[in-house]
Amino acid sequence: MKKEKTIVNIEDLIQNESFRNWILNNEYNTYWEDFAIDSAKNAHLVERAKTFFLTFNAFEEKFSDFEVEEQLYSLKSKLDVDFHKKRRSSFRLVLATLAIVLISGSFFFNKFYPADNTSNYNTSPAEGLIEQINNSNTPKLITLSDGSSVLLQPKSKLSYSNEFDIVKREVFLEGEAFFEVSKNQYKPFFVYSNEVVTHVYGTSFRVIAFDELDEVKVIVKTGKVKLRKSNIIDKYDLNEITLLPNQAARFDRNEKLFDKVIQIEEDKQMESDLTKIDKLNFVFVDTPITQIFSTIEDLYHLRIEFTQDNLENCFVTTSLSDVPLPEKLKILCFSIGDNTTYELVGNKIIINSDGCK
Amino acid sequence: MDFNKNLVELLFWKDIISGDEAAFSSIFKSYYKPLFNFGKLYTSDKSIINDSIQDLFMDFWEKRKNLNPDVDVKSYIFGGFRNKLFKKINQRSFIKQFGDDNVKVGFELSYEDIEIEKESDKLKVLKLNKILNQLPPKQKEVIYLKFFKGLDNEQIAEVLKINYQSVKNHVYRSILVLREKSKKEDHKN
Repeated sequence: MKKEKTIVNIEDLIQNESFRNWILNNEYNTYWEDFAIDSAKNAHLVERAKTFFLTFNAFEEKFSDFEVEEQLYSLKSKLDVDFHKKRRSSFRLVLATLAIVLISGSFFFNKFYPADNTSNYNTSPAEGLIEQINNSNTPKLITLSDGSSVLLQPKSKLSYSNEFDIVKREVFLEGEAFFEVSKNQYKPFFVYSNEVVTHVYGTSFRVIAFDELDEVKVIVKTGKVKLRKSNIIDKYDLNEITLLPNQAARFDRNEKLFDKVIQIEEDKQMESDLTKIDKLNFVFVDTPITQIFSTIEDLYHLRIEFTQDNLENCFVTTSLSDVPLPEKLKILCFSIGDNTTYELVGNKIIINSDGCK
Repeated sequence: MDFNKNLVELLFWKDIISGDEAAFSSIFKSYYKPLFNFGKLYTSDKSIINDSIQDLFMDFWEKRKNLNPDVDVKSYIFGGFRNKLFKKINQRSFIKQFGDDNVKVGFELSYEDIEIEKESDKLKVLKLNKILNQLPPKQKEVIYLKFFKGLDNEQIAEVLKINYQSVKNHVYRSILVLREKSKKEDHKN
């Protein structure tokens, strides 16, 4: 490990990147653990720095991506440039997305969540959880209270609480599901499945964890996903493996080992687990809204009802990747026009609109 | 790592100048939240903050051909936003004065804002918040940009339109005050 320069005051601590990660993201770091218990003075410094971080965080207003989109939209409409008609090469789009990730990462305290979450991984669902079991032959859509959406595959069960905890979101999976988790960097999202704990902030990924199979598989579509062994099998192994888009991992339940797959395409068996929703990038350029609706119907196995006449001539250019279904619908309604809303009732979506402007 | 981030921003800045809408949207999206929160240091009026961000980016786009391609993007955007916001706050205030005198600087935080489970942590936060609020205005700004937003002294000097040495002095003095005051607070308990 890189040698830290001598810490003499709180200013050094606050500005030290690895210290920040240790406090804010609960990253495992022996240097800082040792530092904190080295002397009473150090312990006091760490405590004060933590208070600083908590104060900064309390002062920050939290926004959803949607609110930022709205602000951008109103800016563009004021500028009155023909932004919407311009077509972009996909390379540019990728670059733009990449840059958003990079730049927003550069703001120090973005990744913060209250630090007293001591990673006490439960392994079995507690009392009072909602249980959804899919006994049908088709995937079942579940939307969670934080706006995340889950496509629960046949013969699978998902348990979760109606209202999530104040510092974390937890769900328990038996079987297979595709997750699209709403972004909330202050509240990590955990999926517990057999011996594997999946830890994300806001991403999409698939977890396959049937009890009768010898392995647990996690396949990442967008964002960053961290995996670790559940503490039922190893209390002290805090090692995490990190997966990026298009990567996957298998957990061998007999050997108790992870095996990382760097390119899904090169692993035929893993690739065969992917369905349409894992592969589609949800970028639409000048696409009829009716066509986008039928894509969504197909991918999420539900029905969308709308008045054909109102929306027949609406074309939309938008990127809906990396957001859960409710957010996708919100963005679509927003791009159609002011008087457009949606309702999600069971596996039916009703679009109320008086047409696009 | 920091070098790369700056490089990406600079590339995007140059793309904006050459009229690239995707780059413009990206920069807007990545700066919207940090600017909004910076604005909260000066006013609790959210509409005035949003208007200032909108005006700033409208200027960028409309006058993109005249933008300097080699600026430090972060301090340029933060500084430009602060100017816009101050103008608007001054326009709205009843006392007509020149300069920044109408602008109050403060970390407004109420018990309800603090989403922390542990009561003892919550009280510590309120205490620190009180101490921060007792700092002179310039020191509050410097502390905010340095510790909350990760700007370096040079960038802070650029944003606040003061010289490098006074940024250093402000940091030094505020750290001293913070240390003294927190010691006193600790003794009280």
